[in-house]
Amino acid sequence: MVLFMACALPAGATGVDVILESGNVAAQPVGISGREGAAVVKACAGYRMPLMDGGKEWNAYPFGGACLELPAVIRDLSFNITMDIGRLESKPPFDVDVLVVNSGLIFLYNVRMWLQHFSLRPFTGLSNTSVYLIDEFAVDTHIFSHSENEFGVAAGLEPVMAVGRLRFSAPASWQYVFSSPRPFTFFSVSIHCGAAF
Amino acid sequence: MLNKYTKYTGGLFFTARFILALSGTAGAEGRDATVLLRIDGANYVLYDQEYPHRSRNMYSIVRGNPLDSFPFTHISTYGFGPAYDSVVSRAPAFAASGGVSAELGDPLLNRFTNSPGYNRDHATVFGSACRLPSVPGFVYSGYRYLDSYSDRFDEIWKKFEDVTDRSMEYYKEGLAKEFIYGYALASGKVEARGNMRKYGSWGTTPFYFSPLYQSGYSTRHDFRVADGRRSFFASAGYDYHTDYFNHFESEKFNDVAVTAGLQRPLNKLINGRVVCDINTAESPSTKFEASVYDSLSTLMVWKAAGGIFNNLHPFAGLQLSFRPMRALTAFAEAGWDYVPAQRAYRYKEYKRTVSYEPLAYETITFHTSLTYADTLFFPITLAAWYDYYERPIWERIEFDDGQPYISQDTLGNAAPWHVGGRASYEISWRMLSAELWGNTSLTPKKTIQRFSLPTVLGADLGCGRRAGGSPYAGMRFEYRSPVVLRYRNDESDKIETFVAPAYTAISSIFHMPFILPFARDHLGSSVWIEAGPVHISKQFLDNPSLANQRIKEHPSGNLIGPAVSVRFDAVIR
Repeated sequence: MVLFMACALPAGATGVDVILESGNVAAQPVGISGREGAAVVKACAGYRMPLMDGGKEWNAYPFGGACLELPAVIRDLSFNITMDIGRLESKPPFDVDVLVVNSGLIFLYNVRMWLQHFSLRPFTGLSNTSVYLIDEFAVDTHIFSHSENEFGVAAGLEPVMAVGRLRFSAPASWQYVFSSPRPFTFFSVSIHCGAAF
Repeated sequence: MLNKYTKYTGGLFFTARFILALSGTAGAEGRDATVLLRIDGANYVLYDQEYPHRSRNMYSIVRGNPLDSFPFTHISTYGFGPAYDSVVSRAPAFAASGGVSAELGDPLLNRFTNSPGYNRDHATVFGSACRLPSVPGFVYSGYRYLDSYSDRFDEIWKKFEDVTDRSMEYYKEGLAKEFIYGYALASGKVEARGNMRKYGSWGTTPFYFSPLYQSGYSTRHDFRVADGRRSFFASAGYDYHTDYFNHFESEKFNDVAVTAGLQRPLNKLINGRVVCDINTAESPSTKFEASVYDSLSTLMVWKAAGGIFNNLHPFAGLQLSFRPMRALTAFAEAGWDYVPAQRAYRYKEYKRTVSYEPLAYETITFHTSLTYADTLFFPITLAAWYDYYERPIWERIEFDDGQPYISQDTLGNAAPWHVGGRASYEISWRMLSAELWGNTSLTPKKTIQRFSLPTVLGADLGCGRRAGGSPYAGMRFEYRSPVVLRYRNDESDKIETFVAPAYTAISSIFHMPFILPFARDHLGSSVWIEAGPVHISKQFLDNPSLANQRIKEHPSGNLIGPAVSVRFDAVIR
């Protein structure tokens, strides 16, 4: 999906509408609500549900985090760097309670709609799920040696509403984590609130 | 060790890249009949199908990547590179690249409910370069930690602890950990560059491919003064390293490598060149070489060289290239070569002491090829070659009073010659590009090769432009025939054979620049994502899972599975 997102052609275009050529700004992407080429800082909160075999062993859990959105050089394409934290609990007979940090590099394509302040954005990208392996959480350099992480892919749909500088969205995403011997899949819904600048 | 990878130092200066430059083809790994094979996340061998005796990292302790240009691997795309002509005025003021990669398949939540499994270790690489404000040059730095595909080492370390009742040290440093700082200057006729490096790395021993640690500091400085066809050049390198041959006590070495030379025209057509090379890591350590070559003719180019080592052993070579038409090149070279020996050593294979005794030897070589390369009308390259090497070197394990030692020797039925060919075809249409290539080689019947990789096929498909500030997406399909490595084992009185299975895989790469609104005129950033190789086999198609994705690339290497790499680049103009 990532491959084809890069080659997506907006309707009526003869090729990919590239904004930057060797670092020079030739044009700017059109963001929603007229704020063009804007970066957006967002806070998020949501609920993530393990699916399939993972759903039999782990409970759904709430999470909170932050997100930075930057415009990409292709018109109507944005790039998100996200991170959220939550606590995942196991179901019986297991008695496990782990801290999970979920990060993502997500590409969103803005589908312009007839409503001026509203748009729909399908997205896809790379995720990274980090599980903290010891009981006591400490913010120090040992977090890396005490945690284990794995890449995955994420995809979903995000409806967005803009009110002036403010942005509100409610993405729903599906995530597949490449763990072994058993991969994990999650479904999450969340609410994002942020401001563009 | 300095010049460790340059096994072929007997005076023949005709590299595969020089040949390819004459024939007008691109010299990229795979397309120019060289194949890089991973042993683990830090160590590779480079097999050359056209010149097998010029394959690199094939003998003794295998350490590092012969094609490594760290820290320029990624920042070279912005104009900062290892070659002299990379000091360009259009390079940005600052460029940096940093990323993380890891093989897929960590247990993650499976640790708590299923089997723990192996942790897939990662690699971190960072490089940066900054142009100097008023001097034409730049300074650079780099850091990397490489530990991917190291689970085979984990098993060996565990077995080592069981057998010897002691833990191997330094294994928490990763397969390789390195810092490097350097500079490059170019002003008028004078160019200089140099670096200082602190490193620690695990190489693999000969025959057994078990780990051996080395750490040290090195520095290297190059200098050149050029005025038209005249130039003077010199380089000096010093490497202070500590080797842990028995994994506990260290042996310290000081290796020095110095080169100095002069090039000037002898007349209107012919250039002459004299070079003195000193490398204390080899024996004999000093070489004097003189060469003459035609500089103006385009129809025929020739080069003749000769020299002597400090043990008074001479060497000589001749190269001819004939280009009757733009797209066709006929090439031949012959040499009487002398290859110096690497340093001998003794290492511990668990509780057993093994000696390694390399050889200095002379050999006769001959190579001829015919290349058709049309880059104007129909972008196809075709080449066929015949390569003769009088003394193909094997490693064999022998025993003296029960004490094993590995020597370099040849076998009576070792294949002295082979023929081969390669083809490549490139096409592009608007933003789309495709490149196809294939190499194959054949050896005479009833002879055997020490290292064999008969066939490589590949295809690169791309959308966009790979260089510059544009988006790009690409996929590579690659096929390799089974890879075979052979050793002569006198203990069992037979030839040991190790095989890596045939390899069909897909890899992908994606590049997207993005905009930082607060400094969009001066700041550029982009993200790179690479994934693969995803091995395509009947076993995987019947039962898709990460577990049956891992296969060896090198016959004695670690299992290699799909990995994901994420990298951010930043540029300040």
